[in-house]
Amino acid sequence: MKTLEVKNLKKSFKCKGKVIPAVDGISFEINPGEIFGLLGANGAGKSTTINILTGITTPDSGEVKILGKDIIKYSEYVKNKTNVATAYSSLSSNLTVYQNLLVYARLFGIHNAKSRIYECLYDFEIAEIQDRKIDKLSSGEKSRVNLAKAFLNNPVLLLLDECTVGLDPDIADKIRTIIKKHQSRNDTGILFTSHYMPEVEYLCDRIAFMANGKIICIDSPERLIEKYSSNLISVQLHDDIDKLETWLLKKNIPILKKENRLIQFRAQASGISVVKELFKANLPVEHFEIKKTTLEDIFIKISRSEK
Amino acid sequence: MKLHRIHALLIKYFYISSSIERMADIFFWPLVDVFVWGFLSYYLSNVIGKEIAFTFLLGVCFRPFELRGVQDLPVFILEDYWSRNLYNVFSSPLRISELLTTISIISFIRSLISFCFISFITIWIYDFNPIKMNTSMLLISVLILSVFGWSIGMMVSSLIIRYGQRIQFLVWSAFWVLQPFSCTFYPLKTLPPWAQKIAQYLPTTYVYEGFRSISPDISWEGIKYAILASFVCLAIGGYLFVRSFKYARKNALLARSD
Repeated sequence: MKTLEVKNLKKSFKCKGKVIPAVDGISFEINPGEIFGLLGANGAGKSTTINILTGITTPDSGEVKILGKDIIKYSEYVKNKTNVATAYSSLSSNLTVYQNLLVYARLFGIHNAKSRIYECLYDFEIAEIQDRKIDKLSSGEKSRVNLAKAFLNNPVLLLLDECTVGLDPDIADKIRTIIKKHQSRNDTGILFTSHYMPEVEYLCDRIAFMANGKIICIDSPERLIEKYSSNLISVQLHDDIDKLETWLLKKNIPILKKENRLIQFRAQASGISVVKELFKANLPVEHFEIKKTTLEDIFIKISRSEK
Repeated sequence: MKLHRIHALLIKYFYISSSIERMADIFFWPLVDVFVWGFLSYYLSNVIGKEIAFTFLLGVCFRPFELRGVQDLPVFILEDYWSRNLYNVFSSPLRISELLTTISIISFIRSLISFCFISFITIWIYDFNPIKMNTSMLLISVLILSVFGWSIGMMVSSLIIRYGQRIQFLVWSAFWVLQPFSCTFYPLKTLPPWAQKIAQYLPTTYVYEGFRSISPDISWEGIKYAILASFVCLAIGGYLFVRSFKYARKNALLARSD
């Protein structure tokens, strides 16, 4: 059974008499144990999608099922199996870390609440601040408490909306390890959003790019990179730069930059194979450099093309 | 409704209630009230007689049941706005009925603590015992004041959920807007005719009028109306709360903490 199934989900808001679609007929699914990245520029519709999945916002139309159960009809069942951590919310500022976790443990009806709370406190390295009130914590500590709350009920579906914002690299790395560990241990489906692309590339099994409320593409990070790949190649020659120009023209590869003995161009094929061909063609290559396409390049490319 | 979730919220509101700000609601402000109205009553008792003068103190003693009812629900909801915790609360399995039940319970407990504290002070300083009255009248008064307070609290909360924090002034002003028409400190006939018409609709008027009635013959007709009216208001308050909640969900207002 799929952890999450979203079919033709739509949500629009009225703003100054205009109807603005925030989520425009998106469909995707998350399998058990899969980390699914939802990427897109600000206002692409990621947070609205997550708000609908948590039940905070009602959709206009479409179907959302968690473990095969409709999220509106079986709201209570579904919410018990789900949890969320978002950078845009916090916990009760008047309560200590432990008190907050105790309240949520009881809300989710967790048996052995105390031992589960301590597991989470130690997992996220916040045991030493358990008696501090939330409003006395740094933003990084708050993020970790938020995450501890999200993992409390061992959710089947975990929604993590930019949850590593404000964390130092060391803690962010530890959090990523915990997410991976939890995913493999509990078969949890995770919906993950972040603007930090290396993190998405490291964590996510599949990625969906959103723009203007629509999903533009869904695939694994590797295949997306392959699909949208256009390596930037810089070649410096000993001499005879015209020979390379002619060679590129023949191959229909446009030149991006030409400077003394240096030529820069973009190739759809793998950078290495292009360079190999250059050597085969006996071009006097003195130095070459290949800049690989990253997820960030694809993100920028898609975001700009959809504007 | 699930007991473990009500238990969870009781823990939460118990912790919140133990903060200085929320303690002030049940101890500090009532104490200020008792001193102001107590000494005024003490002074007037020499002029108009003790029994009439000390009806002011009865109003002060019983007021927390209405005041806490009006303020606690919206204040506890605002606490989640201020903490940016609204998202986490409403994405949990919590139901609206559980939230309303818990806040009503905690609000009643807070009112009771405040009432006992004030009663102790009035007995100690002014030699005035507010619970020295007909027991059924006492219980019914507490019921009417609490239920009416909760209903106004629900109406104010529904406006906060609908319009956000920018109208939080209503939380502190709603009670004081109703107060002149509730006839807490003066008889109904003191009000001008147009205000009397408003006051006659408020269930609280019959409670405070009952307190002032020196004769033991209480107007049970009025009390019966007050009970019915307070429950009708509670139903309206609940309806408005649920409606604004649906509106907030439709318009993604709960996802924002502004």
